[in-house]
Parts: sequence; C-alpha cells; structure tokens
Amino acid sequence: MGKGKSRLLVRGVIAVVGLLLVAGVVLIWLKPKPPQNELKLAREALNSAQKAGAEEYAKPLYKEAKQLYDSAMNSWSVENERFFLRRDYKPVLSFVNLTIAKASEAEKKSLQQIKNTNVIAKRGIDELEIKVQLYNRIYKQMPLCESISKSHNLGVMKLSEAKTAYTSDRFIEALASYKEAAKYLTVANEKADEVLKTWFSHYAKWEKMGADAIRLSKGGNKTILVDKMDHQLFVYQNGKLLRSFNAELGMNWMGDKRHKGDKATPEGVYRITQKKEGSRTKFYKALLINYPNEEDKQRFASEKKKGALSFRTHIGNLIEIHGFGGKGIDWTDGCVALHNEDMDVLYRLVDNGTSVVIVGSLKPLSEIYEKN
Amino acid sequence: MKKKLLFVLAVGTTVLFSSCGKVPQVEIDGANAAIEVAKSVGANVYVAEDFAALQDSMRSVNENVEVQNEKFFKNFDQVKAQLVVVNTMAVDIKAKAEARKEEIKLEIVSLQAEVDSLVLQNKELTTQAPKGKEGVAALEAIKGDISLIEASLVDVAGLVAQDQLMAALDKVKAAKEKAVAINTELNEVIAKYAKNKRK
Repeated sequence: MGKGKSRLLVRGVIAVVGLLLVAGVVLIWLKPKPPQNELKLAREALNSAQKAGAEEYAKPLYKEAKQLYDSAMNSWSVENERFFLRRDYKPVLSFVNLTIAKASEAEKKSLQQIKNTNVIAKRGIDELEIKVQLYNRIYKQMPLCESISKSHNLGVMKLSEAKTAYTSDRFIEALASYKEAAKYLTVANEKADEVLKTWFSHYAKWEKMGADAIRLSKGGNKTILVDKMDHQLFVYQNGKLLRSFNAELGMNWMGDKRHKGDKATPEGVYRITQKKEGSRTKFYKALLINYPNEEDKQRFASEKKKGALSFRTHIGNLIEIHGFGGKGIDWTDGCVALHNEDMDVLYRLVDNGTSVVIVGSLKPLSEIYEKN
Repeated sequence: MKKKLLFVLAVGTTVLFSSCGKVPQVEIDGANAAIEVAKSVGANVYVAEDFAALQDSMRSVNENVEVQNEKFFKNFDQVKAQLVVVNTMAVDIKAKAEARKEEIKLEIVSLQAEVDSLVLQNKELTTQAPKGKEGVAALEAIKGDISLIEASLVDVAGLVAQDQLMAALDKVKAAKEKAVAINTELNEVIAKYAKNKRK
C-alpha cells in the first residue's frame, strides 16, 4: 500500500469517527430529558405527607400517593429499557404530578384530621371528666347495684387510658379509648340517674312532710328533721333552724324501709320513745324512735298480702338516732348515726316524744344537680 | 493497519453504546430486606421519624438507579455507596426500635410490679378495715374495684404478649391510677374509723 493510500484511509477513518462523534452529540442533545428532578419533588411531597402523619391520619390518600410514586418509578424504569431515542417520559411526569397532588392532599387531610381528632378527643375527655365528677358527687354515695359501679369503674380506667394516649399525642388511640369510656360512664350515670329519679318521684310528699315538720315546731316544740339525700339532721324550734348535724344512714339508705334486714333508713313521721345512754346502748348515746308506726305497719301488711314480701318476713324495729357516726360511709342497719360530740348536743336538746321526720330529700332534684 | 483501525473503531463503538456498569441488585435486595427487618420489629411505630427517613433514603437510591439506567455510561458506584449507608441506617434503626421497645417493656414491668404491690396492699388494708357492719358497706364496693384492677393486669400481660406495648402501657398506667385511688380511699376509711373509735 502506498503512502498516499494510507493517508487517505487515515483521513477517511478520522472523518468517520468525527462524523460519528458529531452524530453522537446531536443524538445526546436530542435525547429526552429524564424526570429526575420531578421524581425528587414527588418523593419530597410523599415524605412531607408521611411526616405530617398521613400514614395514620389520611391512610387511603397516602396509600394512593405512594402507589402513584411507585407507578412513576416503574414507568421510568420501563422507559429506560427502551432505545434512548424512543423514550417518552410523559407518563412518568403525569404520575409525578399526580403523586405530588395526592401527597399534598394527604398532608392537608392528615393535619386537619389531627386537629379534628385532637379537638374531639379533648372535648370528649373533658365531658367524661364532668360525668365522673357528677358520679362522685351524687351517685357514688348512693347504694347502687354492683353492675353500675363496675361500669363506672371500667369507664374511669378507660378514661385514664384515653388521657395517657392523648398526652402522648396518640389521638386516634385516645379517641378509641374515649369512646369505650363514654359507653361505660354513660351507662353508669344513666342507670344511677334512673334510680335517683324513681326515688325522687316521692319528692312532693317529702316536701309536704318537711314543711309540716317545720310548722309543727312553731308551737315551741323541737322537731328533728332528717334529710337522707343531704345526710343532714336538722333541729327546728319555733319554725327556725336550731342546729344541723352531719348524719350517716343505713347501708341501703335510699328508699323507704320495707322490712327487717333491708338496711334501709325509714321515711316517715316518728317520735322519740326512749333516750338511752351508758350500758343501755352500744352506740354511745341513742334516741329510739317508734318505727314501725301505723303507716309502716299497714304498708308492710299490704305488701305481705300482695305477696311482694314473704310470709316469714318481719317488719323490723329498734331504729335509733345514735352515736359512733363520722365514719364517712353509710354503715348502719337503718339507724341515723351522728358524731359523738353532735350526739351529746342532740341528746341534751330533745326529749321523749320529740317528733322525728325522716324524708328522702328537702331539695328538689333540679337543685341537687345545680348544686353539683 | 486497516484491520487494527477497524478493531479500534468496533471496540470504541461498543464501549460508546453499551453500559459499563450493572445494577447492584444484590445490594438493593439486601437493603430492602434490612428495611423489612427494621419494620418487623416495629421501627415504623417506635421510631417512626427515623423509619420515615430510612424509607426516603431508599427511594432516593431507587431514583439514582434509574438515573444511571438512563445513561450510556452507567456508573453505580454512588448507588452502592448509598446502599451501604441505607443498610447501616436500617441496622441502627432496628437497634433503636428494639431499645425503645425494651424501655417501654421495662416501664410496663415496673408499673406492673407497682400495681401488684398496691393490689396486695389494698387487699391487706381490706382485712385491717373496720370489721362488722361498719366495714362491710365500705369494703364490698372496694373489693369489686380491686378485682377490676386484677383483670386489667391480665389484659396488660396479653397486650405485651401481642407486642402491643403502647396499649399495654396506657392500660397499666390506668390500673396504677385506680389502685392508688383505692389505696387512698381505704386508708381514709380506716383512719376515720380509728379516729372515731378512740372517742
């Protein structure tokens, strides 16, 4: 091969390589741009939604956004496998835009949901606290059946769980516990309220008995008036309140006494029949009253006749106002117990024959609720 | 000479249009597996923020894989380096989640012990409380409350066994609060009774 030919070949090769390079540069320039930055934006939007709690508070939207991001990635991967000039990133960009929109929606929804759940849980917890307070102030002292106090206590424990979750910003769990607590506490309060309202259906009678007792004292005689709901024993004279004492009652103090052993404190108009002290009483000092009176005896006989009480049941007796009170609970078998110091005062104030009027309540139910 | 030139041209063209790197699939699978392991121990619950960052890092790795796949001259060195970081992160986060869980478990165990002790104390107090008719009224209701706490402790153990530690923690805290309330109530009843008895 001559030198001329060789040179020609080299020039030819250089020209071809040069052309190829130019063609390569042109092709690279023409190649569609990858959606790298857009994908990054989509990922950031997804991350931001996740940080805003969307995974928990806007689950479906976040899941959708995540699926759209995955679709964008798959689409990009598929396009990358095609011949570079035939790649089309429009579907990727479309998925990217949808991801950003959905993630942003999820973030907004999540923040709103957190706010709402927080408000609902907080308001709910506060409302239940009021229900617990109401129970403690009014219903707790009542001799309620075990199922009511159990429901209340379960509610209190669930409420405590709700508060713990709430303070740790776990609002969904707080809301779930609140809902359970609400069920228990509402049932307990409603049932207790029903018991109280049924008992208070006698209020008109009590009101009259109370007014009569005060009127009776206007003649100068002392009259003892016992308000069971308020756990107070009042002494009236000349229509005016002379003294008042805290009183403890029978374990089952609500409702009228029906028979021996029911541990209820009777409701009615009685009088002191005997004053006891020293070895004559186990309860420091005592004022025996004439339970059962004629009305009690008639009602007892009628209940027995109707079969509401068994034939063998006794009406009971020995209802007293006595000492050893101040225990903070209703513990007697139906008597009214006072602090020993108070018993000393009362013992001096009254005599045999003094009227003792025992009523369920001197205040209407509305006033009792208002007070609390 | 001509042959040599043609060979160089062929190699150059091949190099130009073919990749010189392969997707580090083994490392990617390894990182994904490490993330799953972290999730399986509850990293998404107990160290949620860290776990979210880990997921974000893995997504970034996947994006970089596609960035390289799109190129004529692929180079996965940076991706490999990122995968090492993701793997390390996953291991750390798993350890962190396990440590947090252990911490919660210890707190639960400690609270369980406190509640157990309070339940025992309360039971003992019910035996010291006023006997006879004075005591019965106050104690019957309280005994019922104590049994509720014991039932709650059984629930706590069940939740721990199911790895529902946050729910277990909430429950045991509620049980403690109730046990303390009963303890206070019982002590008050006993104190009032004793005070009254002396008179």
